[in-house]
Amino acid sequence: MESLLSYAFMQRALLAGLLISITCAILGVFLVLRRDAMIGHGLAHVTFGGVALGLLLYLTPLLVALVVAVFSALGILKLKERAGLHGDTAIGIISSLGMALGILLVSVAGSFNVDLFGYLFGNILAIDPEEVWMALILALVVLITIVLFYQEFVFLTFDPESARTSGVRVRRLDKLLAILTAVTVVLGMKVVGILLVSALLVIPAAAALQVARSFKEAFMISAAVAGVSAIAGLTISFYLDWPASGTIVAVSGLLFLILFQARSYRKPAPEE
Amino acid sequence: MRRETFGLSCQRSLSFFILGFFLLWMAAPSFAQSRPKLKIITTLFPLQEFAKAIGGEWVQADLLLPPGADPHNWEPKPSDVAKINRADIFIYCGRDMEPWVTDLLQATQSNNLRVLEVSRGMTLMEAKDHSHGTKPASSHGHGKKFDPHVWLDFSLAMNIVDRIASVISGKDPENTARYRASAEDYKAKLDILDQKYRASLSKCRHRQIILGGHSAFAYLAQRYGLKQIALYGVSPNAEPTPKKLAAVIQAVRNQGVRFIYFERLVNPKLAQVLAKEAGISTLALSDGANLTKAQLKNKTTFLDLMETNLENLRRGLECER
Amino acid sequence: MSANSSLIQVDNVSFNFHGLKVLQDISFSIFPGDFLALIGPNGSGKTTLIRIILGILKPSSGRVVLIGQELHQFTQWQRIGYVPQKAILLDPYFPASVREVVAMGLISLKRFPRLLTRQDESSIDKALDRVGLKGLKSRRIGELSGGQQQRAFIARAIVNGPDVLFLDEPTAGVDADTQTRFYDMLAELNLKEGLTIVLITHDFGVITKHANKVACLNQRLFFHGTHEEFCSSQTVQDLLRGEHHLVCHRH
Repeated sequence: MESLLSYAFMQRALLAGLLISITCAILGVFLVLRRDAMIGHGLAHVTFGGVALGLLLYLTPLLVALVVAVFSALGILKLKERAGLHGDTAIGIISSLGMALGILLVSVAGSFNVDLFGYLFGNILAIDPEEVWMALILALVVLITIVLFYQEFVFLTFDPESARTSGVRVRRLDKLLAILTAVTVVLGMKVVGILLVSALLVIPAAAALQVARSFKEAFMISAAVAGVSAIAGLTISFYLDWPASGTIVAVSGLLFLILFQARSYRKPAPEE
Repeated sequence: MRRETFGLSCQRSLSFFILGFFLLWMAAPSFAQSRPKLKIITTLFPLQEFAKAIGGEWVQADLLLPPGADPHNWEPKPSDVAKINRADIFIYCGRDMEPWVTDLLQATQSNNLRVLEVSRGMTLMEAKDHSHGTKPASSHGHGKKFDPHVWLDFSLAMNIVDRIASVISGKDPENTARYRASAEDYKAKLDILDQKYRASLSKCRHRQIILGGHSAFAYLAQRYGLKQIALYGVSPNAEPTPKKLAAVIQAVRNQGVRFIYFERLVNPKLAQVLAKEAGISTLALSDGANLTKAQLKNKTTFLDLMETNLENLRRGLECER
Repeated sequence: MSANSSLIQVDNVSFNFHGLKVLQDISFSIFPGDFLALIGPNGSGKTTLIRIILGILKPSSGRVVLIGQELHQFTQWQRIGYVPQKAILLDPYFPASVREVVAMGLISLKRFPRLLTRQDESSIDKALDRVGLKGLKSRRIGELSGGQQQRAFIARAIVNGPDVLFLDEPTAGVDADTQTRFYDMLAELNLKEGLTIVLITHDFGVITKHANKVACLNQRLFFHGTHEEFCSSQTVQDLLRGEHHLVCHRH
């Protein structure tokens, strides 16, 4: 058996996998803290509806899916603000509606085109070169945006009311975060598939939050967990003949357990 | 003169007979139409075609699944239950092909319905799902997976045609002879197809069908002395492992094939990735279980699909004429 | 009590909520150097009043003038510090270090992108020093005790060197010793550094020891004056009865 890196599909899997997982991990810190952890899962359902809509209207499904996802994410936000719902309830409502829309549209359209669904719900082993670029651009856009608005996002997540008093544009930043999440979910799903995106938005962040002593630590640990999961997961799955996505998620789960245990052993930082 | 006279009266009576027969023959369809057609519902496209070929105008054979749908993964709708309740005959392949049929049949309540499981009693090959090669053969145990794609072995397909003819005759015993005759006609076509395959695939440069799709062609491969190396198992659900992908790429490299196969109804992305990695092109193979929308529009038949398969097999395996 | 020298001026502010009269016609001024204790029973509208002054809530009528500017035109928020009620964290694992919490206070002064400079770091250090939390900069905020957390929030509120600091019941759920030290610290900030303090409290001890002005609120502002006036007011005596002498015997 030749080495793992001699296969182009594995090289692309490692590269794109790393980029997407780190992007998801960093966004995930915000999502988990804001109780929006299920949004990856929820938006995946919505994307199904978006794809069906795109098929029905004979428009590029990816674009329609992006638009639908962005609107859904903003809709979830509105539900939280106006109806006072918690994140999980709002997500549950919107994602079920999106899925239902998809099912209704599919039966109206008569049947679905297998190719197009495959096109939108990717697989980490079936990444083509364009998708690697997509992953890179996504990662850069998300990371640069978060760096530019770092202090504001941190303040907003910690104490929205005081943030508002201090002049932080809370509403706008909420919307920005929602848009970033929607775009990450749709594009991430296209490149590496649903399972990985929904898992990587939650598990690395949750793991980091077990031990992180600051926001900066939370981001770094989350990104590290995600990166290690992607690389170790792919490597292990290659040599042990296991399915790639499942192995990556399993590794991330294992790292979560380790950090959860570490929680009880971590000593407080020494006084300066 | 006697001859001529004989000939003339012979001709006259002959033409009388012909006319009479003609009239009768014209009347016959309306005869058949004055009684309702047998309603047949099938899960798979070849089963529908067989039923249509056997039953002719005496049956209405419909396919349960819409074009493009995957029979392995179909989720029955309430309207499906209703359709089957109204039908006279329901034909499906087997538990390993349509696992959802059990529940569906439990939901139907019809004393009129005859159900035919065409692969029942056939000795099925074991499902080749793992890259570790076939497991040793053992009995029909619980949780054992079998390969249900029997209709791609044309001798078994002929067997299926007989079974369908039987069940249709059972519902309409008066026309048994007709159904038998039509069945034989269709079986003859399958036989010709089988011989064509045998001849065309006898001398090929490669004897391995390398497929970026699911393991649907094991029976076909076995019949003509070929091997199947497929990316997915017997049903296109489970994700292939990276090792599987690498193994298939290796097979391509070792064999030196210039084409890798894909299926239209199974996401072709992985097949394309494989082809790209190995620097080769793709060819389509169809297991015939369902049609794409385009194929339906073009009124493609099962036999057409098998002919196209043969062409692509000959091209991809580089067979001599 | 001229309008010119007041830091904050509240004119005839009223606030109705779903038909309920929460605040009725409140008028008073806050002067530099004040240590104002704002007292009143639960539900009397104290928090609402503070939130109106800070622009978080819009009054139904009346106006607020902050450091000489109308509220809706006011932009120098770094001059106003605010420690909200129940600022003690419910989630001890929230990943924010003490340093990061204090840094949040710096944001209002910064322009986009609001990245922290070395000078900011030293401001943070200074603020922590002023509240006596110097060594705990890198700890997670949830690891600190309740009293320490409150100090951290004060550090956040004063890191920009504001003119006035609003505190809403900062010592709820903290033991007596911690409370005492806490108020001593506040008094020091008030006396030594001239920080004006507006404190919503139920704690009469602090009124006794440190407050120089007292305001009594119960939908209406029925008293506002110096500590001496408070202690000699008959109205107040009647209202507080038994507790009155607790409050008004200083030294």
